[in-house]
Amino acid sequence: MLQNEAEKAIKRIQAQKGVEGVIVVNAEGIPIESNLDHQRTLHYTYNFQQLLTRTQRVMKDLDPQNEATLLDVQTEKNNILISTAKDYFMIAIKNSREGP
Amino acid sequence: MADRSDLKAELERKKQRLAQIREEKKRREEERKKKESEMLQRAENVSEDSDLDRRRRETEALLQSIGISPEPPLVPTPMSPSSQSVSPPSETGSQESIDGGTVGRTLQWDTDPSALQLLADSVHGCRMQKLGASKIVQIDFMPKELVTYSKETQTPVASHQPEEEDEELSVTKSEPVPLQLEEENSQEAEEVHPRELTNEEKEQTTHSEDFLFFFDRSIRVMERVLAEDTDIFFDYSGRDMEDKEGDMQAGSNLSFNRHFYDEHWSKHRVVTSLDWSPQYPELLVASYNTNEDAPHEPDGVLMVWNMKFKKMTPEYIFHCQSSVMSVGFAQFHPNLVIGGTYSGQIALWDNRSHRRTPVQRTPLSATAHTHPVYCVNVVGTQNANNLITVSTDGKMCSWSLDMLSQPQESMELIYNKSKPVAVTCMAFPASDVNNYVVGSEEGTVYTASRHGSKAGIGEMFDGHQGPVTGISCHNAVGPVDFSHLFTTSSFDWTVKLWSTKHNKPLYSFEDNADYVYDVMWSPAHPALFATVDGNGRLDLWNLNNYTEVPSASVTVEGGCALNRVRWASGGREVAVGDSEGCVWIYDVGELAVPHTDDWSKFARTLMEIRANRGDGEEEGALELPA
Repeated sequence: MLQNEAEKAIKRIQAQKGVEGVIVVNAEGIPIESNLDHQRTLHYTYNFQQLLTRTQRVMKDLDPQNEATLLDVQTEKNNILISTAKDYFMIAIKNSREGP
Repeated sequence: MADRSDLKAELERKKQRLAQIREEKKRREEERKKKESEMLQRAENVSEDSDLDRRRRETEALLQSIGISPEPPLVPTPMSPSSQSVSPPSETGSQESIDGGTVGRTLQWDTDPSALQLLADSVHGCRMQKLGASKIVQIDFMPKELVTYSKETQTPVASHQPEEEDEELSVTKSEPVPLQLEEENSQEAEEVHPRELTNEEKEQTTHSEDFLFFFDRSIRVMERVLAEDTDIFFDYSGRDMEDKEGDMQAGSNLSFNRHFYDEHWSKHRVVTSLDWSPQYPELLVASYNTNEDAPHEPDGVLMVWNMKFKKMTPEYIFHCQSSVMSVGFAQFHPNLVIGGTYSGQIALWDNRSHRRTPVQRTPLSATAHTHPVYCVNVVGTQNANNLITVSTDGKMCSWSLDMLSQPQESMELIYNKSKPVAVTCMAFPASDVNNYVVGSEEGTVYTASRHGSKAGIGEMFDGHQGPVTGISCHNAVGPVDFSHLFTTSSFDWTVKLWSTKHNKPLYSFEDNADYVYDVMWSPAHPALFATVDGNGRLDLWNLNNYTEVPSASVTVEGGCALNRVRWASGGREVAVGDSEGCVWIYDVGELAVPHTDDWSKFARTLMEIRANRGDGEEEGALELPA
């Protein structure tokens, strides 16, 4: 049931307007769920994992009790959200300027 | 002659001294020999010693050639198994002293590599040979190799990356592959990349508690953020102005804001009840009926919707085995949602638990309700509050939210000692916990009270010709008190305005052409109320403007019958539930904003209404005690 719910929830997000891709990565850095092709998934996972680790290090350095929970990278072409908790993380790529 | 004897004496003295020194040395060496023989029991010792001897002599000869004068050995030399071997060959004192001198000398040359060699030579007997020829070895630990996927990452900064990523890559399970900057292609990436998870592993992960915690939180946040489409880069100078619709409806009184609909849970269900949260004005709970097309799904569904974020999915979804006919947020318990069901049970949900099913339910017993519960209401204060529920068999029960196993008190609502009243709707006037009004299936309206000498049904208000579907007490608080007013809607296509002081309606609003399903006074404006009917029409009546026609009206898209209407607590939005499971939110414009004179205006309007009515209907009108 939970697996089902998880998949449904991910599909919901994927179906939202403008959302290009959603990747869910486990604590070891292995993507467990994605709607992009394999190559891109790995690419994104790898790069954002590093970014995330770096960010976490920065946060811990500034304040040991604090940690990052959401990164929102606004770029020229799109908007990438990385939400993290307990070493898992989820990446969502959204194309901007696709207003109603 | 004397010189010679003197010299001889000196020589002898020297010899004696040297002999003494020799003896001491011998003794020390013998001790050392013992130790050494215990530690190093090798036959090589002897040969190596002789080797050492040779080397020693060579070095000493070298040193002498350089011209270093001998010095007496000052430092206790822990070093020489060799020195004992040196001592026999040393024939002259000078040799020994040179020995000592060299020994002493070597100590001074600590930093000189060749001296180190000597030192090493003298210290470590057996290993000398190997070390003699060696250089200082520096061992490099190659940095942990990592793979980058594309040439883009090989920026000038690339050289720094390996060092940082060394530490960070401990997370991945990639095998260290030599860094090949030129050969990045998917092939290599796949070789290096962590293995694919099997289905079982995936299952395991997704069921782990950590994952669930992460997932629940992330999904919520993601949905909210992704749904927002505000462009933070918007440039008001118009440089990248696209075709914007703009606020075309800015001026209108009633404009569509959004609608809430869930493909799975809303389909084919009727919205039976709505309630706004008192704590979080953006939360709205809607209860839904059975889905006849899906018999295996739970009959009763509740969904909590969030107005604040643009995401189209509910905040919470709750289930129940029986259709939920009425719902409300528990006034003084922020986390609880109460629902009255078709089976007569009252169910309690808690949004702190992860369950979708009720955390508490009243029992199906004769002491509680056995008929559908159409009205639930929490009345009282923070410290003394009760849940009042009324079912269609005329039973009113009062519960404490802590204990739902049995009602605190229950009462049959019987009028005139005949049959009980089939209650379809109930309302409490503002700030009254004892007296309330109920509408019945027969079309009559009654006042009732919970306690006191006249507990139970009080007065009867006759006027409607069909079942009363909705009843609402005047809510807006202002300089003039209108809390004796209430409105009712009915199947007879009318909405009637009553006062608890008269048992006949003050006014009847007859603009509708279908069953009127619900009515509600605005919480902010004294003369404003909303009605919904079976044609899909939402009407706003402002009695200070017109009493004949609604001041604002809109037909909801799709034209399904609208079952429920609820004002948001600020009085600026109206939520409407329809028969197809969709909840529509409308913004009310200027019409909803009360002006200070609206109260007095309304008082005058009321007087006019009464005056008109007084002219028309004299018969049967009774002035009722307040």
